[in-house]
Amino acid sequence: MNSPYTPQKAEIVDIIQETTSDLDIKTFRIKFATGEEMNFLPGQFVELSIPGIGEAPFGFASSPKNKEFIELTIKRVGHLTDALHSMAVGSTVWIRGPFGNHFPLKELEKSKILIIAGGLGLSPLRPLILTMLDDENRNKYCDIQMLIAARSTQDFSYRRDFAKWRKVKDTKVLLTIDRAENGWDGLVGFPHNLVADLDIDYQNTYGVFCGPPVMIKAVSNKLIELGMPKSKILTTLEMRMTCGVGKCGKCNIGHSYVCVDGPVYRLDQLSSMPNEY
Amino acid sequence: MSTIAIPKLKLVEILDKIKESYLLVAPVRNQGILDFAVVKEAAEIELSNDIAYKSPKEYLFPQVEKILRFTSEGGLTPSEEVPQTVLLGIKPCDLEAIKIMSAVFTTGKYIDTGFANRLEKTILVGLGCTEEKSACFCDERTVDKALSKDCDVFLTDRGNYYAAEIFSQKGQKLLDGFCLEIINDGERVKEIQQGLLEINAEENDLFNKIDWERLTEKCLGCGICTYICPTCHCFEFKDVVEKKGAVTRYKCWDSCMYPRFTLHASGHNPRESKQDRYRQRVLHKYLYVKQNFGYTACTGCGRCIRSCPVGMNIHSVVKEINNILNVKGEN
Ligand SMILES: Cc1cc2nc3c(=O)[nH]c(=O)nc-3n(C[C@H](O)[C@H](O)[C@H](O)COP(=O)(O)OP(=O)(O)OC[C@H]3O[C@@H](n4cnc5c(N)ncnc54)[C@H](O)[C@@H]3O)c2cc1C
Ligand code: SF4
Ligand code: SF4
Ligand code: FES
Repeated sequence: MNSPYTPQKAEIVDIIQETTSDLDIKTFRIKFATGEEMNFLPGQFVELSIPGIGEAPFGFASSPKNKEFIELTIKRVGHLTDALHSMAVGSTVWIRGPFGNHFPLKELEKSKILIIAGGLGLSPLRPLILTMLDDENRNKYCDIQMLIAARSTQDFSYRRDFAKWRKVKDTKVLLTIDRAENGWDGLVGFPHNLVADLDIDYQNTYGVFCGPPVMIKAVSNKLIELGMPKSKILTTLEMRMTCGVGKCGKCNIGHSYVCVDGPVYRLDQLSSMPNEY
Repeated sequence: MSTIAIPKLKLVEILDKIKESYLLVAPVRNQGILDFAVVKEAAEIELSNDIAYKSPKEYLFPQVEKILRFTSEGGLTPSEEVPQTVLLGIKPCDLEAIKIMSAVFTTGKYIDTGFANRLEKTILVGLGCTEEKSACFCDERTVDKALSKDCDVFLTDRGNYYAAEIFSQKGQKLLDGFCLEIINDGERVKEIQQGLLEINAEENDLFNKIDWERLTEKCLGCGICTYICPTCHCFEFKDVVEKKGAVTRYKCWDSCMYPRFTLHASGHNPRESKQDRYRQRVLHKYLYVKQNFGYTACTGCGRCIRSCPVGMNIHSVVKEINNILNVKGEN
């Protein structure tokens, strides 16, 4: 019997500097030392260890189709992430997973989709976006609108993707920043204040979003107010986690354990749960 | 299965013999305090009506457990073997707690192998209580203080002998070869009063209708109640770097009563205040575990009541919650 707490050895094969403002977000390309593939679904996460420092959960940021490596986009906020940010290509890390549930890909087929991302909230949505925009799948999904928010122009991750995404048929990528800046021709303001102005058939569109807890609450309220059915609104949450497998008791919201019942939740589910996130 | 009579005069001899093949853990009194300990001499074991200060949970879920080791050569070794153990003198309430903890750790998609291995290698020997102790409320929590079948062997004090009811192959194996008399006791019926102390309400109602601040006023947030509780199972991982560069990862008890328990990297904390955390403790026991695993995670052992430095009392808190909900419900 294998312990779900035992990680596998992996190697950092590439590092991409994402933000230019204070060098605090990097994307790490990682693969197992054994060469084994990691199969996951959009929305799932891993636990990443650096021996002697500790372990923390991170959402997959790459396309599940990419079998060469996985990508994790990580913000420097504390011990483990500090250590990781000072690592170089070729360094060893340890990974266990994939854990958690995932976005209901099948169900989203043949629907219009509105993606809203706040800051690093784009990272767990990226595997879903990459899957839906993939040539092989593009005909399965209808119009895809993306509203991507960052604090300032310096804080967008995956800038390299935006132009590519815009070129795919029936997609729209809108960028917004919190406060106006010289030379910025995109939107200005928080996403929940902007959605009403988008050209969206709220009753017949799936809303998929992620961001900090305040944004999650504000955006949910707005989408409901605009008439989007709660059953068509999906979000992915973040909680303090240790085990990732429903044992350590760290991540619950009421009786729901985010590491196993989540991190992807439907709004009708979330609104019957206590406000504990 | 069968029932065997173990004369009290022979008990020490039998246990000393058992100790040769197993790690024997049982209640021992040390400086006046009764607690589970690894037994050196069977004579020091105290099988009485008293309940051990701490529950025996740490023998299945150690306070600090080595789970793996990153070697200095860049490899990984799993945790070491666990010994064959006899856990003796477990009261029905603590057997109930082991059942609840097993549900959490050994069912579902993932299994906590540390707990599962220990449980598999442990023979559970229960012991009935004869009288109620102060602060116990097991009778209101579906536990029969005189009998539990959630063990391998169950002992009942019959004056000059113990009636040992054997419930499993493991238990049979333990007592085989001692030439003990089989007694025909007939099937004993477990008398349980169904769920006198329960909370039957919606999460959101419990969040919104109860004045948790008032209920939690006195609490110091010390966390003793969670360490002492036989069903509390929250943990955290900690890495320790050894001299030669190897790293041992430990799984350590944690407590939902501590403010950092749920603190996010952003500084956001979903359970910021003391009342939020006390609410989590009560509702996790009385609602969430029940919803997820079918059991209420409070056995009525009364330990948290006896140990709380400021006299917080989960029994009266649950009663009060029910009173508040009933009154609101009538309006
Ligand atoms: C499902 C999931 C997916 C995530 N995906 C990403 C991602 O893609 N990219 C990313 O940058 N971050 C992600 N996070 C957050 C990430 O886990 C934390 O930023 C990380 O744990 C901080 O670790 P640290 O050791 O650097 O910080 P620490 O030094 O441990 O702590 C710094 C602060 O973070 C808090 N903290 C510690 N552990 C966690 C934790 N597990 N979650 C939240 N806060 C914590 C501490 O209380 C402290 O206040 C995700 C979290 C979850 C639960
Ligand atoms: S033992 Fe008492 S004071 Fe300490 S955390 Fe528990 S309820 Fe609060
Ligand atoms: S909550 Fe208190 S009474 Fe209930 S099992 Fe835990 S320690 Fe015993
Ligand atoms: S992270 Fe351990 S229970 Fe969810």
